Amino acid sequence: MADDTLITPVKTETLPPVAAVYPDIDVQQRSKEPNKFLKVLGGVASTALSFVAPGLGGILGNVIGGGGGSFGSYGALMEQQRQFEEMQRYNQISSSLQNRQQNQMMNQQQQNSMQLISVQHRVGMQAQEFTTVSNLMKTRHDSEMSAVNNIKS
Amino acid sequence: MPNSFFMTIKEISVSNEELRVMLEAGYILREAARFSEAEAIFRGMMEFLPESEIPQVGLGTVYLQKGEFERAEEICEQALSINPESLYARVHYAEALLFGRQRERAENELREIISGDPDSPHSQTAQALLEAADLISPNQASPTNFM
Repeated sequence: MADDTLITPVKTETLPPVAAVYPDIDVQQRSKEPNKFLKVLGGVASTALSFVAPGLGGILGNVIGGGGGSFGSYGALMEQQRQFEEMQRYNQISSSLQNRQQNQMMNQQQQNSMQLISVQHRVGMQAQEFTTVSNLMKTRHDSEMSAVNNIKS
Repeated sequence: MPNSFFMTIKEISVSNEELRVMLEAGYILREAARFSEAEAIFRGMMEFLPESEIPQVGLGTVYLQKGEFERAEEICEQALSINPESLYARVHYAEALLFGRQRERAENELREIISGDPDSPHSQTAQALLEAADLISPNQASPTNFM
């Protein structure tokens, strides 16, 4: 469970490109074009057999008509599907990581904004206090000087 | 003849200018937190000017600055007994009340001073004290309706 990316802290490193993870993806996509005759034969066999055994009909039709007419093409299909599912998982993890990073960034930004507002508030308050005290000192000084200037022995 | 050796305070001739300079020296020493020297000056000035409330108020402000607000209040009250009309004494009496957490009484006194003579420099100090009331005596909820 420690390797679970959803539990362990997120590392900010980016995921490798898909082509690096699945180097043979292009090879799989360049599958052989099936023979026309075998395609037709497969279709007919599939239809006929689907009346007898609905699940098996489709598979046999695919075996006969699909890519080269052998069990290898079915295996390749399954492999493709597996890789497709893996890619989906990969995408899910990648998007979850991105979401988490975005959330972290947003939280950080929010914290920074709050800190900034707090500091601005404190600075404003201090400036106001400074003005008030400064004004008090000035007026007190003027008042004292006025008293002193009126003194007579 | 030991009696002729010492002069009484009344025998010392001091000009108004010298009195002003001495008073100013008292204020400067007070601002420099040299309280005992400032107190000595104001007490000496009280001997020179027994009928003036000004040196006594000066002494009161020394105690205010020292944080001894009750003592300051007493001294300013004594100064008011010399000259009850003195706005200077009234302002500092109110200031002592404000610092001594008697905000309501202080604010009433300050408002009276301002309404009596709004243009006086003492009224301006009173106004500044009202504005600073929240800083000086913050724990008491009181409407700060200036003027």
